[in-house]
Amino acid sequence: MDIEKYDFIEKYDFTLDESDNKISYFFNSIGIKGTIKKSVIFETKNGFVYQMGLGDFDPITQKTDFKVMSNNGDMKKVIATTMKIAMDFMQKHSNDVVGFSGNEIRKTTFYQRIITNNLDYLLQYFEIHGVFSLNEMEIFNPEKQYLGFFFKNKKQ
Amino acid sequence: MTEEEILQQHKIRLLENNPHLTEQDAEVWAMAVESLSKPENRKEMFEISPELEAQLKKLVGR
Repeated sequence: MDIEKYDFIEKYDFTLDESDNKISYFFNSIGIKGTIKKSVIFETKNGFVYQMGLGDFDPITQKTDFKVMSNNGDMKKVIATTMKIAMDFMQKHSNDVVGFSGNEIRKTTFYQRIITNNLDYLLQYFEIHGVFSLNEMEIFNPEKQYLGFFFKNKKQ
Repeated sequence: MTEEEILQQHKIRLLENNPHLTEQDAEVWAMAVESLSKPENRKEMFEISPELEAQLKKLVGR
């Protein structure tokens, strides 16, 4: 699958909920499979590193699935929306770090390709670090394979 | 509080904070909010070791 550069302009409207220290964003993905309800969550254990997750909410089962890849044919728009959500979150949490990874290597590799192909745009706003072992991270290097990623607002 | 009352609370808050939201969508998102409060529906977070946390603390100047 080709991963192009994103213009980050075409995105879905999103909805924010903050309750009981849980921060969740929601949007509708509209594509070949119809409307899929998407959730983006931010969770923290230590109060300054938030882990971001993207999942599908099923109104019938009332369960959220973070492992699924919905393939609704609107990947660019979903990724652009998720990135805009991350930017919105980081505006409100300007001194915190956001981390994410895929729940499997295939997804993590996919996310890395998106970062690499849109690096110039992302580096305008963020410092990006790659996690390469359980204990080590470094400034993001597109030539290396990472286990996860941390984003921090760029110092202005 | 009953589940219905909890969902209603979520819905009211969503509508107050998101002016673009329709009432129908707010009802669905209220269910999503409630779903996410259940541990089995949370994302598994990747483990951050003490060494990694120390590096991240330095990064944000804490």
